[in-house]
Amino acid sequence: MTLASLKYQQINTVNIDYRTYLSAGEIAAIEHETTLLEYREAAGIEALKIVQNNRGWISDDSLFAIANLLQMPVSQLEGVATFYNLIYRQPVGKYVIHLCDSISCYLTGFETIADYLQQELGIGFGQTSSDGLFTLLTNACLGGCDKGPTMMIDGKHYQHLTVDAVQTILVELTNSANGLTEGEQ
Amino acid sequence: MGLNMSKVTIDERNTINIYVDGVKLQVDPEDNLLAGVLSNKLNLPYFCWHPSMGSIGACRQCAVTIFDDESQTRGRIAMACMTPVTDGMYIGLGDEYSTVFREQVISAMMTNHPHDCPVCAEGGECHLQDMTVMTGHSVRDYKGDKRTFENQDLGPYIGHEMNRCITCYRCVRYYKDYAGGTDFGVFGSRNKVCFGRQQDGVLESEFSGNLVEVCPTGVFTDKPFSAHYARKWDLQSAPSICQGCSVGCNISIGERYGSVRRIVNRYNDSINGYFLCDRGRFGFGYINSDDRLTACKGIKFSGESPSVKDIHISLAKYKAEKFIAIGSSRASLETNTALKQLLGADNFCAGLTQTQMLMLQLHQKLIKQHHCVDIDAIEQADFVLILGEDVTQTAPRIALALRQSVRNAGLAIADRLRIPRWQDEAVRTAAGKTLSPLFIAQVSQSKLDDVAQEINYSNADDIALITQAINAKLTAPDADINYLEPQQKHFVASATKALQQAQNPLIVSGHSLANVQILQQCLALAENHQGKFGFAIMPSSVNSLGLASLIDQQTLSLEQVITQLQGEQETSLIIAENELSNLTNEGQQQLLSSAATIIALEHSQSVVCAHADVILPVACFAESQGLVVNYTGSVQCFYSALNAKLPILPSWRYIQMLDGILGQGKLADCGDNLNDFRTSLSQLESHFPDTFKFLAEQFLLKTARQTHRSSGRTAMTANQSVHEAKTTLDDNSPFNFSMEGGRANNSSAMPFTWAPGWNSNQSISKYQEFVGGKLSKSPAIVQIFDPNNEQDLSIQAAINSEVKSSDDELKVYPAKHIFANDYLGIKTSEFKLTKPIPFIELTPNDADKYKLVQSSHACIVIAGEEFTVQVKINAAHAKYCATLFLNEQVLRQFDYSSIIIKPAISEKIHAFDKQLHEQIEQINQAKQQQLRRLKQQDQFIPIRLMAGGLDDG
Repeated sequence: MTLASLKYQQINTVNIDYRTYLSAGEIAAIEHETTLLEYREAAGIEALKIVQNNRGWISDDSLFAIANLLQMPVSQLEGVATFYNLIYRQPVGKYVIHLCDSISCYLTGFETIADYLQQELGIGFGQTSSDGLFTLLTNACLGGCDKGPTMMIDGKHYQHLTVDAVQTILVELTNSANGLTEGEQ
Repeated sequence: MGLNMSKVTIDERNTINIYVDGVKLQVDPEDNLLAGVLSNKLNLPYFCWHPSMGSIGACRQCAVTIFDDESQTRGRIAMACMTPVTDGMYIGLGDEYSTVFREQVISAMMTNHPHDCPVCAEGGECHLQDMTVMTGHSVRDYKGDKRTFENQDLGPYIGHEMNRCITCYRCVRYYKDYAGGTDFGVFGSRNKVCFGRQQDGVLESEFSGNLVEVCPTGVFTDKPFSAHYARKWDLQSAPSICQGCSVGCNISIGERYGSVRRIVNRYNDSINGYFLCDRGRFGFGYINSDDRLTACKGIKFSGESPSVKDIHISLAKYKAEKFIAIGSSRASLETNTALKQLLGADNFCAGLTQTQMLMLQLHQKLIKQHHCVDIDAIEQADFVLILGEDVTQTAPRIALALRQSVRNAGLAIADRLRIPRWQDEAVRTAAGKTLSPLFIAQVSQSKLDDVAQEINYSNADDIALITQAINAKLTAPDADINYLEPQQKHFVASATKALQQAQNPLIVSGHSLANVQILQQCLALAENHQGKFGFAIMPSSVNSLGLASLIDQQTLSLEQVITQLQGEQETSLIIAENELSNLTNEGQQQLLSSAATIIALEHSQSVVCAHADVILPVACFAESQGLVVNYTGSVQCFYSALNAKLPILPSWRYIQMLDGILGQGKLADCGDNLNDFRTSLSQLESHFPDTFKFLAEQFLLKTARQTHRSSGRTAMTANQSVHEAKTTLDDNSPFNFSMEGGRANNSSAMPFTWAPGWNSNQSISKYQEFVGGKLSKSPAIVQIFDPNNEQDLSIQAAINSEVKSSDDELKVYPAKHIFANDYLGIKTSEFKLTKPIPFIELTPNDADKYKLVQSSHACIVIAGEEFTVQVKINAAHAKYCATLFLNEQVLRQFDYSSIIIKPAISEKIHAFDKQLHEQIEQINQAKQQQLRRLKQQDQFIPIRLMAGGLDDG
């Protein structure tokens, strides 16, 4: 402890004891991953996925707790967390829309789809709709260059997108989030 | 200094031939193509490769064309740093294909690099600037937006401007992989990659300052330098030796308008390589501080400085008094030798206690008879045993070298897989977490613990016992070591086993625990196993061993001086550059109040100056020239970067003046030139080193301390006189206070490094035999302890084979800290902010004994004085021991035998916390005030090219 570090004391909450923060299920699942790998810290990416599955995103506290559990520097785990675009370091909506903005999709109508999504959801890229359902992100290439424009929501790929198709998808997702089936509409 | 390869000279290298643009070159077959090309002094741009860190192929800048044979006209692009050299290979460097490619790489980097060169601290010594010019990229044709980042506050030393980043990954590879830092990383992906900490905060590594030199552009900058800035080309520089500890790292001091602006690394392959610690880089604050002594006290004189006659008249009244001279381990060899000659050996005190003198004699004996190794050899060690010395805090550069040594077992795996050492990523992957054995016996935790195989926490006496036991076990495997505790026995058994398998074992210890027995046991170990070990023993100060060479039978200890002062005969003192921090408060008072007269030769305020009748202001190391002896016994010379204003003079000049009136008259006729003075000293003092090597360059062309594009030389003093002032003559050194003279590399000690087209420190490769190797002109180093000198072997300090085990009473050890080891360093504002907050550290059991388990703070009473400190309870600590840090420990010793430890009452805790915040405020104010004063001083200079500071300062 030095005088200079007093200044940062408030934000330096790096020491979070994983035993009080993570659930028993999370701890067990992460510990299982570590047994499969040569080094504990190699389980970092799996641990982030496990905690995100439970909590929707990775908060600073989650990050510190995982680093504590895996006995690795927070900076190293943060490097992993920020490298992968499917690990969310900010709160996201129930559905995260990854709209491909790489070159093939750009040529086949990305901009139309992007405009429509932003207008329909009332949000820009990187934002979450007010009902907490949708977060809109770009994604550099989803690997469907022959089927553009494409997007991915909840692990599912949607291809050859048109405005109509996107509208249908949004309605379906909204309904299913509200517990409605197609017939009840 | 690169990649743990053993050092050979260029003649010893096997070479093969390659053809670059049709020209035959000789290269080392172990090298990559980039290193081979650069070793031949050709210009091939690069960023991510570093001679000490190898290649990763991140930046794509060193592209060359590879041809199958002489006749082929269309080759293929390859990254030179990732390509092994093969005999007879043909490459194109000046061909259009690779030239255009390299230009395009820069072009891509420039899409994001900002246009802020005028306000960038790196400007004028920027590797990116140099490489951009070298590739011929001279037109900006990118019209789009640039990527922007939020910068971090990384503490008082390092500025952060991420927009300038070109993503070469050098910083993170240096900070994490090379220096072992854990609080630094790389975040994000694609076009948005950020290098820094996870959150704002002070960088924790003791070697963070090297980021400034490692970064090829201005992402990481030297904050104190930025705050009071000058361009590299406007700095007047001198080669110097760091005075922060006993390693003796080579540094280059930069000065402008009379104040020291910064310190950078000066390459020396065997002492510090490419890297310094933060104590060395940032610890010069005292030179510019308000605490400097600038006037005489007790001397009447007219004119700028006292003459010999003035001194004679003023000091005549003291003529009849008996004087004792007290030297210092931070003063130069010349000063100490002159002091010894001034009043004779029987009136000379080295400024050390009895214990310190004994330890230095043991150390001297070890150096003379056994193998004491430099950093290059430390990096080769395949087994390291650290005995009680926390080198990260007391001799940081050694810790950085030890961190490289533990890689050797991993490097051996890569060698077996035939992965070349320079293939950094592949080597690290192959090595995994394999480390060479590092065993540490220590009192409390250290920063090297993360790479240690086994750690034993014992008190100092027990560490001596452990050393004795290892010695016994090596001699006879069935030796009885039952005097040790079970954990200690386990440690001895595993250390001995690992030691027996090692080819290059190294023992590291030092003086910081002030324990004679540990050194005696090291010596015993050396004598019982001749030639088996290398030793790195760290004394406390920059010139401890220089001082040691002057100690003889007659030399007085501080205790003896006090006894003499309190005796019948009235005695007076001449104290040179010694703040008496080797004494307790009581000892200081006894010494200072019993002396009839005190004459102090000093450059900074101290308790001695407060009591002195006469003060002669002397030059600090940046303003003077002298010899210091490092931990291996190597004598090195530091040179002045600026001339101090009169009456400040080098110590030896004042001592010479004192000689005529108070001394024995041996020094008065030694000449007023340092070289003549040294020659005279060597006739008077048998151990004084042969300084011919340092002298030899004098007769050649003098080297310019200023760059050849230095601005405003003729206008700088125009407010005093419009006539061009004559430059200060320097008869003592091979350097001119001028831009005229030989180029920087004319002298073996280079004031700064520069080569055509290479303005950054990376120009050093032009002056090495091959990249990362020895300098073409090796700097002068003389060994002070000649092993062939029979007379030297009769050192009185005997090995005491009986190690006394300690009792169960609580032992207190002062905590060592890189920023709080000496009273000069701590005058630097930044150090006041980053030194520890007072604390006591002990085991849970011991804390329980003193009822500290529940309390955050303790009250410590030592000899009637009360201190409030924070409590740290740590199971990883020697039992029946406490590590204590007090702010006052840089000023004096404490007698811990009378210590009382109890929980602090809440009012005291409250006052303590309140005081901390007040201190921050005071330190910041003092820092700003000093900056204002320095900048105001600049205001009087008519030509001010950079009077202010940069915003990252």
